[in-house]
Amino acid sequence: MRSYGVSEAELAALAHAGDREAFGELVTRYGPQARRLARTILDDPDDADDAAQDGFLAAWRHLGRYDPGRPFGPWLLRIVANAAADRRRRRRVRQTEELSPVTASRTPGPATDADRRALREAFATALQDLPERQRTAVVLFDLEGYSHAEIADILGVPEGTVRSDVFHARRALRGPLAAWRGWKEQGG
Amino acid sequence: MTVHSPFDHAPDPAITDALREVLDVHDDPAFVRAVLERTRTPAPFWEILGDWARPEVAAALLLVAVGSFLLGRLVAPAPNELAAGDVVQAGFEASTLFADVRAPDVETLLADGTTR
Repeated sequence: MRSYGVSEAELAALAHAGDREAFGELVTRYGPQARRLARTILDDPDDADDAAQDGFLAAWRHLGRYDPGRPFGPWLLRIVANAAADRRRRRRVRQTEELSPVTASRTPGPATDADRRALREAFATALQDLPERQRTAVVLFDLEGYSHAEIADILGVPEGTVRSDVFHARRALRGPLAAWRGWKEQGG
Repeated sequence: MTVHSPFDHAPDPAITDALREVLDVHDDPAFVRAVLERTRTPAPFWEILGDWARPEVAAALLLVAVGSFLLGRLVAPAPNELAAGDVVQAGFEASTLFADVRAPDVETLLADGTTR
């Protein structure tokens, strides 16, 4: 794509002027982040992808409100987070399926695919069981690499709240993570 | 596992790897195409209306409303206010108070009482 190497602000300005190729470059750059964020908020992957699309579309229509002096990512992800939360409210998406009752204290047994899946599932369950804001904060911090201040901007909460959310989320995830890693280190 | 504090300011690599595995999304050109396709559809009318109803417009409308109200007050004084002078001109007649459809003010009533 010809816009490779162009700054976000320049791409946003081009897109605002109607350049769909420039906007496509922004979608390529931020698509995975937006989709992961939406999946953090919505359980259903298809629903999450639709929400991420909604977010990009809203961003396209309101590019005039983007401040080019600031990073594009937090501005976009705030829109995506709102789109996902809005979709969840409208569709009343709920996770109803019961996941396998694997506990964090479980000692990894024989290295089987079933164990690997169960331990991975336990971590996924622990993640899903977190309050939504904690879940979103830890994903944005530990996976996407945003700072506490940027996450506070995305979620519209004080920075101290983000620090607290990340701390509590990590604490809740470390149990299942230890079991999963223990299995991996045993040769799984 | 290392001990972490609430003041951690860097991502935890172990959590990062686990989250990446659980929330894995494949690089999907179809997603980009779908978004770009949707940008070709015009915005729904309620979004356009929503853009018009931005706070700036609302503030301007409020300003116009307040200005109109104040201007109206200056140009046409309220007709149903009974001044003490009206009663004095009427000669302090009690019938004036009852005959007038407008309510007398307190000063008029007090002034009337001191003359008896």
